[in-house]
Amino acid sequence: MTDILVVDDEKDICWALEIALGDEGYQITQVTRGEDAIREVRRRPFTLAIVDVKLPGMSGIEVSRVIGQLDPRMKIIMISGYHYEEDQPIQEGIRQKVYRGFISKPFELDEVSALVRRVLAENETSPSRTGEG
Amino acid sequence: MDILSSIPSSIVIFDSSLRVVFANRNFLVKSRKGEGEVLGKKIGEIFPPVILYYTNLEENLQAAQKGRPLDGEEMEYRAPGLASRVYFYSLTPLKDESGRVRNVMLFMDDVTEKKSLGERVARAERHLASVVESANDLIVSMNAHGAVMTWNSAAERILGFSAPDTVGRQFVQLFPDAERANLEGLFAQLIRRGEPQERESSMRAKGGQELLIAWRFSAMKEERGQVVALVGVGRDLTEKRQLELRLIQSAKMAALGEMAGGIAHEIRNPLAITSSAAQILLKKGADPELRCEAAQKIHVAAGRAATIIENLLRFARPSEGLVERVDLNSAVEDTLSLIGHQISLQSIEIKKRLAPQAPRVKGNKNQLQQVFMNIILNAYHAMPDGGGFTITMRAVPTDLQAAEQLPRAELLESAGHLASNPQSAIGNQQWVVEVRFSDTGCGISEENLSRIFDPFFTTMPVGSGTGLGLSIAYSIVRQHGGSIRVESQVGKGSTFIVSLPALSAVPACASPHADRPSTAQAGAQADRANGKLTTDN
Repeated sequence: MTDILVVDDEKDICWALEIALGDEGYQITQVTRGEDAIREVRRRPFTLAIVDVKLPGMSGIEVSRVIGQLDPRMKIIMISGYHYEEDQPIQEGIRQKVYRGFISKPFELDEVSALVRRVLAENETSPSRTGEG
Repeated sequence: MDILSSIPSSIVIFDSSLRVVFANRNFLVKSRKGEGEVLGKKIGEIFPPVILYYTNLEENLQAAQKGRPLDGEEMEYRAPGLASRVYFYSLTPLKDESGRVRNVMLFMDDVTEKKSLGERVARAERHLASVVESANDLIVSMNAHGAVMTWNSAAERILGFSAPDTVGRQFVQLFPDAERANLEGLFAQLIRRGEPQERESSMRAKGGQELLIAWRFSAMKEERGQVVALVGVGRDLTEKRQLELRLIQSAKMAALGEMAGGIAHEIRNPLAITSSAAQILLKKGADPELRCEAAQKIHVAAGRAATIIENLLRFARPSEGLVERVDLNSAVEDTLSLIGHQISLQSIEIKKRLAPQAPRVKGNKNQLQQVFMNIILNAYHAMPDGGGFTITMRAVPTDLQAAEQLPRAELLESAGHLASNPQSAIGNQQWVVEVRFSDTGCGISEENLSRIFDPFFTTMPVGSGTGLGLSIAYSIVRQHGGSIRVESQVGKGSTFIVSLPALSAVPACASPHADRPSTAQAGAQADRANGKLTTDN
């Protein structure tokens, strides 16, 4: 079973991602705060984390840096309604392979599923992306 | 005849044939004639024909001869080679013992100096009047009872009422009902203390349009210090206010530009939810539970997006300066709905400690939101690496606010129980609603603190701020009769404190000083209300 951690303070985004990715057979854990994400990652390994760039308190960029250090094998996809893939912090993360992909809100669930599938299949190659942005 | 010679007026006596029988020295000097040139001459020979023509002196002399005296007329007489002089003259029949008119005395008094003094006074009066008339400001004088005495042409032009419309009427009758009592109090104070009084009042012009006039009233006193008249000088602020509104609007647009990214994000989140839920509905709509859930989420998210857009439009709309009862809680909430997420994006944690039952304030919600927006944007710029941002609201009596004697918990208790009281003040105690915005940002240096509300003052790089936000916040708050102040420590953060006069006050039983049994209960209720309705983040 592939464990995916979804970190988004919008509960309904987590709900949609859980349904879409659950249908693909993944095991989804959702949290709405960065601190909770770090606690989950400390507790057990995840194959993939989908992290919202914008989180209340600790930012998604900070969270992904911490959980990436806690579990360097875990792949991270960023999601945002604010940033575009071309934005500097996202570009920087992709270049450094901290992020394996980027989802722009709003998104097509099929494309998110496809991105997740692709990222999971990847070995340390180039990152993937989806979304309308 | 010696007396007549030394009199400083001219005297000429005519006999019944209207010939001169006597002319005193004064006349001879003034007319530059010798006695021989005058005596025995007819009037036409000693006065220039022009004077005779204009004064009818000859006919009047004949009339006087028949017993009809002439009481007093003015005539201008220029002796050859001298400046013209003005005389006041009279003709007096001189009768003998039998009562018959024998001679007629022409008495001429030189009033040239007196007349020119009078003319100077009249000219000075005309000059002053034309100053008053050409003033752009309204200038009104009233008697000590407040009845209009004079009304200048600026007052006619600006308010549309003519002088005859207003002279004799009570000046305060020209003001809205609510303002009359204030003005009457102000005039009473003016008469009592004599110090000029200033007041901005709205007035309705004859045509119906509302004008804002800044008045300065002063007392006119006679020698003994008794007030005999009141003078009001008024300046029409309508145009200035309109310019201010335009400036406020452009600064608002600049603020909106800064917020655009955050607002886009605010809308893209519910859009993402709507879109995802619709996709789930399409794919898995057969599941009744999921169908219901998805439809609900679509409904809620669409409503959320609509609210954001509504708030955005309401904020962007030019403020017309309308005054209403404003709930500052909702003004803060609506502002945060536009900008709150942009702030938390920058890892700034927002805490709200609102006071839902705090009294309303009188003002313009749109403008007050702009005040909050500008303060929040300032905090946002002060915390580029994140931090904490706390908004605290409370209602507090003005004297208590000044003294800050009581712990805040107690104040919040009293603040919680206010709204239902319709009275404006208890025992003259004035209340304010205070909103504190505290950030944990870079703080403001002492040097900059004094300039923080200056227009165009900014510490931000060129292009990232107009430097108008806080100065506009300041002028809006001042226009609302409130105050705005900052406390700051470099490296620790800043607190902006906005205080606005409350429309209602706290019932006596909930006053922090009251010790009746009901106090505890009221306090407890208020506490519960606060606990329930105050939200953290």
